[in-house]
Amino acid sequence: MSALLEVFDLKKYYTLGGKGLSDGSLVSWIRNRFTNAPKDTQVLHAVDGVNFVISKGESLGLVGESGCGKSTLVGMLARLSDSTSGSIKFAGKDIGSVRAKQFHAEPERSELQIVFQDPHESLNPRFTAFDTIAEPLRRLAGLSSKAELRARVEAVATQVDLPLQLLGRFPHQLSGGQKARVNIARAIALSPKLLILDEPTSALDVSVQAVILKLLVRLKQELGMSYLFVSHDLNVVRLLCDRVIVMYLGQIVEEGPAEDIFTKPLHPYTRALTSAIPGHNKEDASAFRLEGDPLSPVDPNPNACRFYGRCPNGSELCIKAAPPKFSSSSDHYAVCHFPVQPH
Amino acid sequence: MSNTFPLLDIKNLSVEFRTRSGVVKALEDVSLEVFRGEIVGIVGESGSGKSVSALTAMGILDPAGHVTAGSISLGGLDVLGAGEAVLQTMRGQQASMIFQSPRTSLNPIRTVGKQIGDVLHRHNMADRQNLREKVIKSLKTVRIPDPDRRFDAYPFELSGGMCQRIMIAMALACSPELLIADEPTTGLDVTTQAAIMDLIRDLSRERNMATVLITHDLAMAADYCDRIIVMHAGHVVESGSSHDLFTSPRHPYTAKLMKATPHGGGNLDDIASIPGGLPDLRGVLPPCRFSGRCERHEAICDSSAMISKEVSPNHFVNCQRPL
Repeated sequence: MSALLEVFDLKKYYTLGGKGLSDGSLVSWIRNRFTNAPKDTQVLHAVDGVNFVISKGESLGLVGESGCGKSTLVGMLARLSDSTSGSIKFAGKDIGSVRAKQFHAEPERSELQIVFQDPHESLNPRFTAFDTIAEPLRRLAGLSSKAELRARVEAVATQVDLPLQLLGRFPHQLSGGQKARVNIARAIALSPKLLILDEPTSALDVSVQAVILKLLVRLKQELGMSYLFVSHDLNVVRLLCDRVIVMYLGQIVEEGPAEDIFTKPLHPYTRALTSAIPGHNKEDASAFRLEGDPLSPVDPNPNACRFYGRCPNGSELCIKAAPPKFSSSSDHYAVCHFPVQPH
Repeated sequence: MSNTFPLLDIKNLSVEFRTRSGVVKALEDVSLEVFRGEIVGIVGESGSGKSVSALTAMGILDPAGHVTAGSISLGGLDVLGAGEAVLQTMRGQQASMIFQSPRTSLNPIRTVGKQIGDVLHRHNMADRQNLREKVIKSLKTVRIPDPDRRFDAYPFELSGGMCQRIMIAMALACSPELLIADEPTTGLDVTTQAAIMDLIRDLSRERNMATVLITHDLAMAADYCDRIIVMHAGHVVESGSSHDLFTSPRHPYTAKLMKATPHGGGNLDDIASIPGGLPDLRGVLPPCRFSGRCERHEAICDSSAMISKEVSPNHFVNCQRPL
């Protein structure tokens, strides 16, 4: 399979103490929020040197707890925000160097789309379902004739199983599942090559979750898309994704085939994550519970493992040297001094 | 357990909401019992009446809601008949509730220590001198690191998991006998969720509390609850021990709900959504409110009233044609 999206050493840093917030209050906020914030707070490493590849037709899962940089990474990949350094290559072209504000003019804009989290919030309340789906067609595909537009919107709505009589409705007149369909229809209207799905089912009731997941799988086959699937729900990631990357405090700590990540995790953090999935909870799972809060992402020690302090395998080495890459097979690695030994 | 009397005993409770567009029959003939020392899960989709049941039990039902039938007894206290003063003392000392989205449940402009202190002060459990000391003690019970410093933190300075711990500390400050946790981990990370649920379980065991866990996550209920009550559109459809319910669900809705929940491994084809939605609770409803979504629906389902059958010891199902 050839690579569709290649991300190399991508970084996003934020300097702290800018306008509006006095240094003191921000520092105290960070001190309370994170246990080990240093005294001279300067740079927040939101995403810190991330490398990965998405192949054509592949779905890649991205998991990690809130605050680990998932959304920052997604924002950069979707070209909604600029990176500090590093490169993003999409179908061979460096799109990371195009400023996010100018990206809408690039031909790649229609090939790289995103389904935002929570359809209740992300749909424009003053747009009907029709308007929402027509918006990218008008702006990016340049469809202007009314008949053509209507035909295309109806085709897309049919593709996502949205009844055509609902096209005139506003978001508040639609159910959660219908809103999710509108949200997906908007994103696939231009037949993108890569679709980023940010928690597509977290706002849905379990009774409709399954149909939406099946819809996503079907669309992927029909349109030949690749997915970057960001989710808290690890059971869903396991069902939908070929490969999974696990992020912790701005870095990728493990990457591998989905089944391996869940059954043979290498990184102690991944093990803690998978053993916390409801329904897997045997009594021994509590042995892998994480204690305390993550370290501060502000000026982290470059020569230490960021998981140190919460890690059951941690030792002195972990704060003296940055952890190395440990591979158990050609496509499965973890960044850790003391990876979990498979039984 | 079953030979003692239940701590929370809801009998044949019906609740209606009067709205501009008609009367919503939110609960109908709901009966449930919770004993000391057990964790009972109430599961169902949104709109199934889980929270309304809990709010009614706490005596904090929205003024638009009216109890039309039934009784609620909490440790011998008649909740529906009691006056507001009695209920205010009951809440906190006998029963407490924690809600989802802890950050919005806490007062944003007061420190968390003061907010926990308010509860102790209201119930005369502490005076000025030992208030701080007692609050810090309760922060310790919910395993908040560095409680002395966290006393003076505002909710926005704490993570979501930490805020939920504060809520738990507040709920348990006066050692209630009943704790109702309404979706306590919605919006939290899976690792935090596990830690919070472990904490709730450990504290309930230590204190021999009766605990009600309201959740839409069947898998989580299976992990933490001794007994599970499944609700659908304002009816209790099935109740039984977690083991019985998961190994042999008897109500079609329970079985479908289990089938719709993704669990470790397996295939996407193995999960199936439940067709249709909840019925409109405003109109005339059939005796079984699941009948419109049910594959086993037959004429008898529309003609006879719902009956609760004990299919095996302590495993009840409200269905004419159980699986």
